Amino acid sequence: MRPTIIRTASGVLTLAALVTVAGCADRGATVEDAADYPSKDVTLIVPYQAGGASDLAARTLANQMEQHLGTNIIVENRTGGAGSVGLQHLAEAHADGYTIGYLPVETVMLGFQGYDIDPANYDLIGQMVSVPATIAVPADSPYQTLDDLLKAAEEAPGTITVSNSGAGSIWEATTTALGEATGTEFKPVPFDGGAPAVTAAIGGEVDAVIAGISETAPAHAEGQLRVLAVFDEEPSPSLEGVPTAIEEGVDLTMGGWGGIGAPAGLPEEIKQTLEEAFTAAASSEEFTKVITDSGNIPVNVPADEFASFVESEAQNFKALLSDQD
Amino acid sequence: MAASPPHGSGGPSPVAARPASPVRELIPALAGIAVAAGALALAAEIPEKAGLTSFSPRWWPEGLAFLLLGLSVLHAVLALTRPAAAAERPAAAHRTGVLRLTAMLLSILGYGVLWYYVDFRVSTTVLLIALVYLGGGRGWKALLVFPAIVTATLYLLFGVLLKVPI
Amino acid sequence: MSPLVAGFSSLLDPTVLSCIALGAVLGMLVGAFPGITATMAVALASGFTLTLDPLPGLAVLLTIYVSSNFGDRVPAILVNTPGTPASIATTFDGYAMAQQGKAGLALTSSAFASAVGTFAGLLLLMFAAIPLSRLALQFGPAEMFALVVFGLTMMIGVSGGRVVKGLMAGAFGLLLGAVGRDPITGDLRFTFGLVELSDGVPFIAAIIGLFGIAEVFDQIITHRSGSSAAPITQFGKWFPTRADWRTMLKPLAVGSGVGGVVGVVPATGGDIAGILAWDQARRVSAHPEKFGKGSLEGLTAADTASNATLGGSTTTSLALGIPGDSVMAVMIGSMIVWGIQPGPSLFTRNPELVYSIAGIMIVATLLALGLSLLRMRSVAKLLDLPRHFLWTIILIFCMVGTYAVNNSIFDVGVMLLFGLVGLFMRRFSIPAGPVVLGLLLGKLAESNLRRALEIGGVSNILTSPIAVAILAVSLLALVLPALRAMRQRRRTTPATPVAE
Repeated sequence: MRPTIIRTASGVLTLAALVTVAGCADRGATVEDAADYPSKDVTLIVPYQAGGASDLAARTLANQMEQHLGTNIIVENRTGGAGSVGLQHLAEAHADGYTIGYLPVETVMLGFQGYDIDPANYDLIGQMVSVPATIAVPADSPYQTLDDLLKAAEEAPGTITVSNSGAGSIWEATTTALGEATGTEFKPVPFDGGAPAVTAAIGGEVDAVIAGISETAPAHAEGQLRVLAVFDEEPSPSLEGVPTAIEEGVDLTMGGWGGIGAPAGLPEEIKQTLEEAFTAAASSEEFTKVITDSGNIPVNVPADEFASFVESEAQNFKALLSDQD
Repeated sequence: MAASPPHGSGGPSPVAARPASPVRELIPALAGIAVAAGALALAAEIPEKAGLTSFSPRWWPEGLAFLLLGLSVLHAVLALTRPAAAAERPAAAHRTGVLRLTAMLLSILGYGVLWYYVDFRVSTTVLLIALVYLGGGRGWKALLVFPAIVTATLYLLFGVLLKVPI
Repeated sequence: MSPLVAGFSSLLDPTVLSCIALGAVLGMLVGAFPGITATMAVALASGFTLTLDPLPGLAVLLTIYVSSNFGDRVPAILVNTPGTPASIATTFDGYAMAQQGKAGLALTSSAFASAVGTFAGLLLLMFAAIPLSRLALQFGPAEMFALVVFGLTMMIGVSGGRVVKGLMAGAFGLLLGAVGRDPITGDLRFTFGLVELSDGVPFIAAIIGLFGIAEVFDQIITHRSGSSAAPITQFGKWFPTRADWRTMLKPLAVGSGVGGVVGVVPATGGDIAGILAWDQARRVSAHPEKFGKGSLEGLTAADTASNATLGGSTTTSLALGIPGDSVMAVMIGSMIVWGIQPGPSLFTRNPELVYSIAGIMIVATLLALGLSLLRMRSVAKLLDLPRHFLWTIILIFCMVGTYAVNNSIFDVGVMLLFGLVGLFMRRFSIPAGPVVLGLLLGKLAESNLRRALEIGGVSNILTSPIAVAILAVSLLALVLPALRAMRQRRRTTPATPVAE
């Protein structure tokens, strides 16, 4: 009996020692030469919960980028503060290419909503997903076109209720922007997430809903909702016969997007390596298929173009969100 | 636990049926009043946005704070006026126990600092040794083998399997 | 071949069966570790299962979902720490039973009750999905507000006879629920400038602190070094006797009913259902005074209800495409990528799949029940450990588990802080249940009330027949017991002091 205990115990101790030593070893290798990049695992920070649409896009892209970088990419969800916890964590990480992150549209919005987030704190790698906004009404709604809805809003400004996924969300901002673009006013009703907002419209609790295309298109196909317009440059293949807002005479394109970024100050060589891996991953068949199947639109916007897009988005939201208060 | 007195009647922890002293019962009432007052002060700082809603964003928290305030005062009045009922009271705390808890909390705080600088496996082993020692464990099995096993389990489960960044 | 037979027989594939086995073991484990929830486990697993075919993939995810709702009962009963929020109400009576040396009976009856609850919910999924999903659509902000008000009337029930203190705790919990972004204007409230608080008080950290950590802290300060008795040294009998089964019948029925309805309503899950059913069972019980003090009925009702929500929320998710709870939100994401579009037409387009899903959950339930009965003895041995080991294990696992929820040290701090709050409450005999109820329902109450008012003012609530009916029932639930108590008091000696 006794020898067995001792043998087991010493085995456990040896194991613990090995685990400890191994742990110390990988901590030691932090000084990096850009030429060797990547020589260890890369962490990809997602500022939202595992399992959501952003997480899915980030993880699928990470799988593909791994193959081009030849290293593991570990996805780390750091949630909270409407995404600002994860974004702040990313901004404060070492700019050595071993911490990158998923940048959502909120990166350019949160700064105007009382959070300490500034897009200038990130080096942009590329944009890979776009989620155009859509406006939809219940299936039995009297409004057949966007024009009908706008006319109703003109007659009684501020009474047409439009649900969205939450206070301060991109979809609430779209509601405000639609009012401003058409010289009328809607009443945004924030819910706790996109699905409850869509449900409220299906159940006829509100007059309309503004949500991402992946959230309204399935209900449109089921005949539970009628999507009146897509706020994008082009009509979407997943919403056949639904016009864009521009076609309906409202010059407004808006929506969510997602890209990859790193803390500002990334060495040029490493940035190049990441950009190449990003482009290859975002154009891969596996990635585009998963994103298309999930109802969103895969894109492949290179770093410089993404940077100027983020710049213009920041300007738009500055105008839109600042005059709200 | 929630709905029962802290120890089940048949449990091994001794439950003394002592009369609840009215002065002691004032402490929860005072705590309630303090929380309510704090909430009222903070609620006054919530910005009132005009236009979006006809109902102020303040009224829900302020209403709750007043509710808590009223209940706390009611509790204080009841405690002072009612004849003290022989209520079940939790087993008495004692000085060594409180010291032990304080020491454990301090070592957990130290762990938070240590974790930042040293690898999870090292810092956790150190913390576990401290906790077992403070809890009264002695001997090499308790102070070395047990912390090593628990640390290894945690590391394998969370670090390796679940890929939690520890 | 009927869709039912086709759906069930497609499960006979060995890949699917081994996926179910894998999911069952994983689910039991994540359930048993406080902090890690089914949502997290399913979200992480969905990263791997997307590479599988839909049926084996669904088998893994659904089985984790089901079996984590068995595993989480074990720490709730043995160490007063809910493994996942769904077992909050399990602690009310489960831990008290364990303290009375009835841990064995508590563990097995809890497993049986959980299995019965799951089956009851699945019956809804298989035979009443479409009509139920129409009911779910009726629940707009006004109706949700009414339902939450009904939930808030439970505060008196979970106060355990100390009504004023219980309501104080409830108001405190509701105030905690107001921390974070204003649900309508988006302004930050009570956050003390901490960005981590802007999404509210982290719920899992708070409940682990209030229940598990507070219990450990309490033991630490009251334990005398001389007495070496471990908290639970005996387990008593294991299997319910015929008489036990008879007392379990009524709570099984109550739990199935409450859980089924709560599960169907979007955005409410096993945590709320467990507490609701516990209180309803207390109302109809012949021994309401035993509730919270180790009542087999209370334990049975809570566990039946929280598992009956599984079928209900699967129903809403499949029949409407609207996630019935947070696990289902993740699952719907995976299904869409697999090309399975949940929605009303799924039941006409692809009825076999619905039966396959129900079938997977049935097999998973049987497996989880089997594992629960098998494993119990060895898991329970853990509690024979001396106190210093037990305290250390609970503390460190709760800490690391809470950290893992959001990878956040802040959450661990919140958990320890709530441990101290819970300790304070214990020292002064303030019940912790109402705080949890307030935290759970506070946000829902405020946001739905204000949303309802935004949409159509007070008349929006008063013109909804469902909302008015639920509000009337809530009023009755408050008034009737008070009237009954008054009449009883008048009949007996008028001088009896009311237990405070």
